Amino acid sequence: MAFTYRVGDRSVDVRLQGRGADRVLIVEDRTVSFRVLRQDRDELVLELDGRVERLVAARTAAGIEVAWRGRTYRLATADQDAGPGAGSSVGGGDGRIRTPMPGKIVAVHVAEGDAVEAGQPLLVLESMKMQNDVVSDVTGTVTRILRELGTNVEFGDVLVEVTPAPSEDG
Amino acid sequence: MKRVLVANRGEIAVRVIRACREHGLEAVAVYADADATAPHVGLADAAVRLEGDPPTGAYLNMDGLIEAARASGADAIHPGYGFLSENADFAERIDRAGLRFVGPPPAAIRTMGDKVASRRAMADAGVPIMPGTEGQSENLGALVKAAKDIPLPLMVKAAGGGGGKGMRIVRSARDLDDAVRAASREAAAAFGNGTVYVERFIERPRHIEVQVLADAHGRTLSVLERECSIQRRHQKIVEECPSPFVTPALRKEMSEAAVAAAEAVGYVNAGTVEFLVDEDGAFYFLEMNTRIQVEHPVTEAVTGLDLVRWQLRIAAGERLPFKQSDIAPRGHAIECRVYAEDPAQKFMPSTGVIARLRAPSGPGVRVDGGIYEGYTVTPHFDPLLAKIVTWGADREAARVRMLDALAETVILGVQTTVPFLRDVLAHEAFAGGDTTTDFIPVHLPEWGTSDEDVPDAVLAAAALVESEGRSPVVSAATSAPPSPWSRIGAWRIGGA
Repeated sequence: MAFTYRVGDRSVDVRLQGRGADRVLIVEDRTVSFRVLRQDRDELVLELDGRVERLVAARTAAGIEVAWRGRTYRLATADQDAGPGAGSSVGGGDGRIRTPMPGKIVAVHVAEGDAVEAGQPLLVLESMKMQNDVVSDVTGTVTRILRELGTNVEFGDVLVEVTPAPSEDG
Repeated sequence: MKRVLVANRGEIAVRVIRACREHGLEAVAVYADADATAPHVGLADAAVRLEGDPPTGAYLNMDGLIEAARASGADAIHPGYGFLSENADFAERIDRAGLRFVGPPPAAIRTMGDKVASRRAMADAGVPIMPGTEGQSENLGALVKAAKDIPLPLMVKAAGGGGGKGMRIVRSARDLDDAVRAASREAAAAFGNGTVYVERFIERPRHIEVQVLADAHGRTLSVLERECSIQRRHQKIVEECPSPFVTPALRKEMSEAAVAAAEAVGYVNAGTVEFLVDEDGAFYFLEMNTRIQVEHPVTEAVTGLDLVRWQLRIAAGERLPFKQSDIAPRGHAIECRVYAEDPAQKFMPSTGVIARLRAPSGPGVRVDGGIYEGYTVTPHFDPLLAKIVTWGADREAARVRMLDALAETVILGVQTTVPFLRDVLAHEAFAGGDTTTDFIPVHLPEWGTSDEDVPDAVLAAAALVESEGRSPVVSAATSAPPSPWSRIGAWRIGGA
């Protein structure tokens, strides 16, 4: 069986072969043999490269999550997007500023028509007793404010639209 | 005292309910609708639903809580931490209702809850305080003027709050005016009180606090210190007991100052006196937390004292049967706070359903948790999921044990601080005891894991699980199986 996983902005092609305990994993062009010592639902004990590895995996809305040695890996499967905000960074956005987490808008710092810089706080979202700035991901002009002060917002809602300014060199 | 209402939720409600059990008392839980399936509800002898919108309102509803205590036959109320635990009016109303408040007298809460009043009380008691503006001032202009005499850098703080809100660092005199106004605005929004004050700011300080226990018969003891310098957003994330910085001589000095602080306000029950310590070992009173602390388990591990049970015993009028000289550290303990937060995104809260949960175990490992597999982490409450505490014969043993415990911990479905905590514990500065409050920005700035290669074992596990198709997608509608956290029986580690 073949799978494509995405982590951040990279994607990895994986093929799983074999049946029962002895398996082969083909990662891109490498071949990795491993043994399934135990599989209890999503709890796995594998022998790989001469080492025993304990892992727990679960399918979630974001794809597959795998816990290994105190780290959690989030693998987006081919048909799933990693969700709003994933991988976005200041200065590289599309100007549609979305809710990074559910919460309540407790302050709005800008008005429609304001010029804003990438990274500039647009509003303040309160979630889990903490106030977090929601910043612009582009330099440009605020064209729409879609949610008012005091509104409860859900994950991924578009809060503000910023029209990017034409770039200096272009 | 026969029946105690626990006016809280999450891991601390679980902790208090267990202490009640062990002390032969019945425990009454309260819950908001959003918490109907929470672990503390299932552990209690009785549970009372309280109205609240937003859900935190249930745990802040004084009338509702006192009425719930009456209706359920409770004769005492334990407030836990947060919510109403440091609300003097609540303590007073409990007294007036003829119930016992498991905590200090209202007057002590009131004095210590006001940063300005507590500074004055501490100065009068000979407890060292930080140079700062003496009087509180609603007049921000007058405050800015008064602050000009204090050597830079400065810290602006809210008189009525904590947890980093309403705080600003000022390094240049021309920024002072803006900082005071911004802090005041933030404090007004967060605490309903915009009063701020200004203090000298110590570079690279340590945050070290002293646990005290005071009975109602005049005995006040200090129960060692806790090092709490590893903080994000001015909030603690790793704590230990004893502090790697504190020498026996400094311990004695801080211990005496903490006892003087408690006695100055007529303190009774468990409390914590927080100090800021500079690199020369000079220490300054920060505040007193008039309640049990989140990080109390490290002290329990090292002293063998059950602090929550002592809260109950002191509230029932018992005397402390031991002396100051009986209290000495045995080994070392470290606590890591597991929050539903994304450490790669400035510790932004993470919400979702706990899809898989495995708690660490083994000798010297204690887990205080308030979640279970299938539990929904909502934005309504503090994102603390669990606390992992390890004990070892010395600091290094406790540290190595914690690294293993964190590696064993599995929480899927939400982002957590676990991988970040491992990097803190593994860092050579932490191993060397070089713990100052700027540890995270100095040693782990821009923390992230996204550019790491995905290990083959992880890809193999993902492909296996997908090919088996055995793993149903977890949704918010998943019903709650029994809680692994609440099944962890022995909470005490490292001693009898």
